[in-house]
Amino acid sequence: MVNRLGLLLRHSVLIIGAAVMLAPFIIMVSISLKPPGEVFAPQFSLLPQQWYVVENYTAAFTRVPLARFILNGFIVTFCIFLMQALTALPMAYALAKLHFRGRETCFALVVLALLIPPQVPAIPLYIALWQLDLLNTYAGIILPSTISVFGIFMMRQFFRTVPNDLIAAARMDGLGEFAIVWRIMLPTALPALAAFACLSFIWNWNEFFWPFLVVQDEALMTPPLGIAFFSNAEAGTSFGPLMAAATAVTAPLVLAFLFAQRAFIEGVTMSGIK
Amino acid sequence: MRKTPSSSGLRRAEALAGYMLSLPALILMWAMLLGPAVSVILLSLTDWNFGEASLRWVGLENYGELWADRVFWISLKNTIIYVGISVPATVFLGLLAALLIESVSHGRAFYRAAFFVPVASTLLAMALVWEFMFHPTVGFINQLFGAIGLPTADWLQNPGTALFALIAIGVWQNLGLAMILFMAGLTAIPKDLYEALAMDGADDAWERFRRVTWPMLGPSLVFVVAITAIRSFQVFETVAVLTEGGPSKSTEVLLYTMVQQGFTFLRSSYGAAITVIFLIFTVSLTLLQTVALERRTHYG
Amino acid sequence: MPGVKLRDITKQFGTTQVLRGVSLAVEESEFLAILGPSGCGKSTLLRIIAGLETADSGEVFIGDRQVDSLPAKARDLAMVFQSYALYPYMTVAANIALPLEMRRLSALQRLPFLGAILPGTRAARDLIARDVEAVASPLGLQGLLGRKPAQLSGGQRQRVALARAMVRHPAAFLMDEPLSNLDARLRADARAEIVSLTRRLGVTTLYVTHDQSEAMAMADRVAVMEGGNLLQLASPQTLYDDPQSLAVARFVGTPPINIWTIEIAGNGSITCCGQRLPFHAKSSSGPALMGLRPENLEIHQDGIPARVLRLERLGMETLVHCHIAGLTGTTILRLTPSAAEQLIGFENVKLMPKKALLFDLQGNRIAVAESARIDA
Repeated sequence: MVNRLGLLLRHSVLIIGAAVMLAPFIIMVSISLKPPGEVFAPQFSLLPQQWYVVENYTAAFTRVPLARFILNGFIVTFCIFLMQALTALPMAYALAKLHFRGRETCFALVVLALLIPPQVPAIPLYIALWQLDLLNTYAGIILPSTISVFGIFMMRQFFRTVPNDLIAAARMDGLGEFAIVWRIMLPTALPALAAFACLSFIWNWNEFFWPFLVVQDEALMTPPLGIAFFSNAEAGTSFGPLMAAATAVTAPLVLAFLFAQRAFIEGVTMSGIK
Repeated sequence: MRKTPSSSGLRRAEALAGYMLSLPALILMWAMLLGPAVSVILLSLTDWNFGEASLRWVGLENYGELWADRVFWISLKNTIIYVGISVPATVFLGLLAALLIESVSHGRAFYRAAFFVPVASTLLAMALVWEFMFHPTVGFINQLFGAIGLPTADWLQNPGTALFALIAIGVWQNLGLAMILFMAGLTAIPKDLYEALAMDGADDAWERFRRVTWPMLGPSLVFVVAITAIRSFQVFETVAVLTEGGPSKSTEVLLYTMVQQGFTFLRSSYGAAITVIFLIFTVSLTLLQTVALERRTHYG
Repeated sequence: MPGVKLRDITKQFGTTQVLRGVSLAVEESEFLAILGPSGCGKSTLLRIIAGLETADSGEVFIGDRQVDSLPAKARDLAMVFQSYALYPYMTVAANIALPLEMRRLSALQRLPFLGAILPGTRAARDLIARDVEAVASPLGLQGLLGRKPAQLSGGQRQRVALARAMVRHPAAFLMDEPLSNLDARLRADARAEIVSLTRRLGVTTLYVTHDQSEAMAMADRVAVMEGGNLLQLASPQTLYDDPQSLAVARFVGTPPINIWTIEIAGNGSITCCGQRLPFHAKSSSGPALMGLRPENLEIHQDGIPARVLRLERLGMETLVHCHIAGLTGTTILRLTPSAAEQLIGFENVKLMPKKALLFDLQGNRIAVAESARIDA
């Protein structure tokens, strides 16, 4: 039946596509399990003859401070998201629900800032941080990302859908505007905030450009930097441990993604619906 | 409504709250984004190098130098080739993936996750895997191509193929994003349009695509193209770690040149000029997108 | 114009049985309304006839052709959707022309640029344009042919949907609550328009709605459905006067029918709240239900005591809302305005039924044997 054939064809194409998309991950893990001899073996095989898992992963964690890199990843993304939430939520609420002169101008500024790719402020920011002696510090890595205009935009869109009566009731109960943001708006916005958190987490964990410019010390390196460092330092001789390091660094994201697929994809879709 | 003393007091309190709540974000916005954007434009009009004691206003001298700079033009050309190929490829494959996944009833979650995982992963780590895959002898790609009779090459070392290798990596990473955005657009299409088509006598894939899917995806298409183009313009990591602009400057791209000039060579004002060019391109893309969408809603 | 026949249609979605063996026959050129609350399966039934869903079992006939194995496009039916389903990026003319295009032009001729060059395409398209005009003018759409659906009002969109259905001169029209998106004022006009249109064309029409007044006003016959079952198929008046089940009696008629709990004695005499009523049941005994239309109640000294709650003055009549001790709910009584005014100041009245429908506790009709009025 034509239908069946068509369905089979579609699934085949999708499976081949999925295989292509997943191939690098599979190869990454596969190499991380192999001893040096097998990595460059002429025969291609998925699983190693000789399991080198322990050696590769230990090497990864000892030759470079991989654990430190991963820890830095968590520190940096956590601090960034915290600051983003602390600054974005109040402004989003003010833009969505409060009336004040210059509100439209502020919103126009937000939209304007959305147009600016993150690499544009790099040179002046670098100069400014240099003068403040903040280069090569956690603060230096974190500061430029503390403002998320996208977050403000997204939360504002969401807050606009909250019924005004809810806020009026809160005011009558005696809550000040500041309290309203955290005790009324935040709980209703949790799904949107979760989506934003996921986006912020992926984006900042993977961010390379700015940390690349700002960080010199090994001890401060974020995961992507650490991997690049490892790759340069070992210069193509120890692929096994390098892939082990790559796996270790990618794992938190992929695992988080698999568990929170809905929130991730919702966040990404919302970034689209401007 | 007459303004009583208390109501204008309320207004003032509300306005004050509005300012106070927005203040931290506004300060950061100016400090981290808008201010530096303005600075970069101003900086590009000086001759300041990093660490110098004084600066001089030189107007458009830096841009003049860019105009004559062979490396800049190579960089711009490479970037435009990169964007010009990866955007259609990403959008086409993303749309295809979205249509295929929406058309099957089993395994959707798996396919969706498989196609999207590259977007979430650390590009750098995966780029290194790709580097290994591109290895001339033991790399997966050459082994596969050799086995099925396709031509092989030293993908990353050959000036003729290096840029395309990077394009492949870029498409691989962004495809999932395009796909997800298209899927959102597809689910927004009302199902009864397809049913009306069926009643009107069109129930094959081509007519359905042509008469309902494609026209309804118009806005999504414009958006995906713009987003993908802007992301492609920002290509940097793969160049910085895999090829460093080579071989023979075949993978020199705009942001890489900017970082070279502005940070490695410490020519801050020159780097700023390149940044401004970069900004002009990305802003133009966004404006084009907005205009295209406006036209669609008014005349569509 | 052939009729439509359904035989024993069943359909299950997951674990829910949506249609439980529905059979009905629509006469040639008849306007049949399919009426029921949401979830009763009426839309599913329509879609099965259309070919948009397949039944689990049962047969669908159009004329004397069995169409179960045919796809929607081969059944020669046209459907008007609740949301109209107009193609947003095509003009009104293109929307109406599409069914003709699909049938009269080959796949090659339909191709955007290539098709225009092929021989015969131009002539066919001109013919199509004329047919579109022919169907658009009577509906008042001739000036709107160049517009897109987004630029039309709700009523105009509805007429475009009708035009698109009409242009093919199908064997039957299927309409799925096409008026529910219009505001009340437009709805009445649109109702009349649809009825006169289908009558003039003589096309068999199946019309799904949850609005009983709409069904009653428009249809030659009404099929009342509930819970996947066809309860009764009859003319509007028959449904009103002679409902076969309590569900039908309740569904049809505004204000809704009054239901009194009664007791049938062994000899068939009927009491309510301890008081004899002037009816006899032909059979059965025990507790039962009596359905009373508001116009079939009167004020009578031998009646059942009731307390007047309020008067609802509708201009041409007044509805009297009462409460009877011992019965749940409100009893509504229909009086002329002058008769109702005489009740003012009186809190307690006595209500006597003039004509009754009897139902057992399962909702099935029990026959009534008329008896003489009990004299005081």
